[in-house]
Amino acid sequence: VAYEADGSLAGFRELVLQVVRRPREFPDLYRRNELPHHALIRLYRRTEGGSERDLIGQALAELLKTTLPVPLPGNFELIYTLLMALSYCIPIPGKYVLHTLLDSEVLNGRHINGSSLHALALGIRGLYGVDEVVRDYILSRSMDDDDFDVLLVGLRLLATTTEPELAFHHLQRNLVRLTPDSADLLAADLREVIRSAGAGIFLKWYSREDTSLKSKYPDQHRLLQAILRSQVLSWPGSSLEQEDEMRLLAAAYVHAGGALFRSTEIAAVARTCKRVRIEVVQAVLKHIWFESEIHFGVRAWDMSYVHDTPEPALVIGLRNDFASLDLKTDGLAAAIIEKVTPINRLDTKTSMGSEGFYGRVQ
Amino acid sequence: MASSSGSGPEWDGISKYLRTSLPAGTASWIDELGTSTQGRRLGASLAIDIKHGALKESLIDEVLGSLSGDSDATVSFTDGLNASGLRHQYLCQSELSAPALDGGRRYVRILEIGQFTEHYGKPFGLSLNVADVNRMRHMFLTQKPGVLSAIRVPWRGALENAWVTSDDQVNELKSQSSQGSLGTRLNNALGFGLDDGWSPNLLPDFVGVVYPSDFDGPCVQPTTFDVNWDVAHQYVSYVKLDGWGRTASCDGIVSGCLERVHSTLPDGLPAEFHALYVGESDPVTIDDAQLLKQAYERFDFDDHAISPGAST
Repeated sequence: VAYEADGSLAGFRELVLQVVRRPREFPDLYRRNELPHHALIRLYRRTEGGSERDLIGQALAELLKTTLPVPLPGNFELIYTLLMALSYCIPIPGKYVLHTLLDSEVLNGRHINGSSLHALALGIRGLYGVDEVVRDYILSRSMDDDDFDVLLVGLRLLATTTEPELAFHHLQRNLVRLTPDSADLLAADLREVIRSAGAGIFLKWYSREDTSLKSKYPDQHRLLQAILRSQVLSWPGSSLEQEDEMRLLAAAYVHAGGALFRSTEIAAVARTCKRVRIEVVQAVLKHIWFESEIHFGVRAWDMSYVHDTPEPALVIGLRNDFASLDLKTDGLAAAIIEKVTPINRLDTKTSMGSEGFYGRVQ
Repeated sequence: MASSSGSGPEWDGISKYLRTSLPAGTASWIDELGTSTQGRRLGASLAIDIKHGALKESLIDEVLGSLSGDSDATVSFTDGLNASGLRHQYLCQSELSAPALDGGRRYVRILEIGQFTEHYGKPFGLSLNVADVNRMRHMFLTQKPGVLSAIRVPWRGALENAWVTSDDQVNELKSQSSQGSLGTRLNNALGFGLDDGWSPNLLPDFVGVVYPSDFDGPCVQPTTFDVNWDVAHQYVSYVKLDGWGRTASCDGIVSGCLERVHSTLPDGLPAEFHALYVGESDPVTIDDAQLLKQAYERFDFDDHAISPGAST
């Protein structure tokens, strides 16, 4: 280290304090208009040798431990600085200091530089790995917390566990806190949460709880549904075939009732059966079918067999468009559509163009 | 009292200009300016602003009347700017007219991704850990970027202003592909001078936030009052020309880019703003001598006939 420290923990502790209190006296570490934690991170980055880096990390953890989180001048600012530096170094002792800070609840409701110290500390604790302690902390405490930031951190951390569905349960328990002001924030977070947890886990939860959420929290459900449709699981449109199957199914589920699907879109959903369990695909198609009737008073699709084409196909159509499913390659998809469609299909023996076809099914 | 001797004839000319333009009580402060490179650049920038009528005389008098007397003239000046606790009153105060952007041009604010994460990751409890910075990339810089309007933190820099350039300026730099990556070109041309950052290689990594073409927030040419002078930076004022300032490039070779400032947007960004990933930059070092040279050249840019304070 090119700065004065005698190689002891006490020496590094003193150095850290000097950098925090008088960063401008360390021109190699300090940049214009930066907060002091940048200088600390730069100190850590520029320190060569694991043992000295460890000492810097330990010094940060120890200072955090000994900085009283009481409203004395500068205390919470110092805690913010130490937390930000700690987040970069992730020293092992920091994990236990963060436990203590979180358990004591002294950071709850405290904000520095627009950051919730509670959310920041929880997020940094999560960087050590989301173990049972963190999981239980999130699930047991956050209901009492007013910080929406803490909910977002909780969702993010739970989504990375071996039980990612807990993230959605957590959302469900806290959905009452969703407001129009916080909806966009949740959208940004939820997009990543679904990416971490998997769209299949989300679909399983949402399809199971959708009706219950709607009846318990109608306003919040409306907000959630709106952000799911517009920001989190936006409909892929022209890139249907490139979409991940589970994500496509999840998107289809949340968009059902919001807009009528085109036949090509129904076919794309049905084709996911090639890689996704049939029951899941059937459930989504059924949902689309019933939502179409409820919201638009129309069938989601009509079907017709075309026998006299080179490859017999099942043609599905609605509203001036159609898509055909090849009975050989898309046979399973055709079977799923047939199974979930509670109507009589139209058999036709004639080859026809699209106009003729639509004339018949409508 | 420190002497300005040894600072060169360019500084002597600026020092002389300041003495005739500013209240008599500031003579010793002007002398102190001459003792450091940053001080001389401050003096040159202030002289350019005065010469071209960019700052109201009353504002200058207020600030200079509040100099703290610190032995470092740049610190003393910054103390003067901050003395009243109403720093924002001195920001975005250029008197030079700044025509609105036309022809679909847009403002762009360039930020290092660490800075972007630090400020706009706050509502998500994100820190400066590499994993958190990457999360911001996913959230706002991937193919389906997040809505920046979700983030209700004030849109500003370290002071209560934000620095912007124009999209055609960025595109022009983009076309100069022989001069390193776009990130490196921006780092140099916009005068960031960053040598580290939050790319996976710990190098500066830039993000651009593109404003809507109909953004009507008042953007003005920056002045000496738009920066704090007690910390290192690369600011140099610019002449009265087109309502734009010009950045001072770190190497002094690349010509300056367009720059303006606007006041804080206290409620964050409306939905029409979007973020784009710019890219990583090699470390850029700052040539202080070249910076000062640019300042001197700008002072001499126009005719010498403009009398001190004539246009203020």
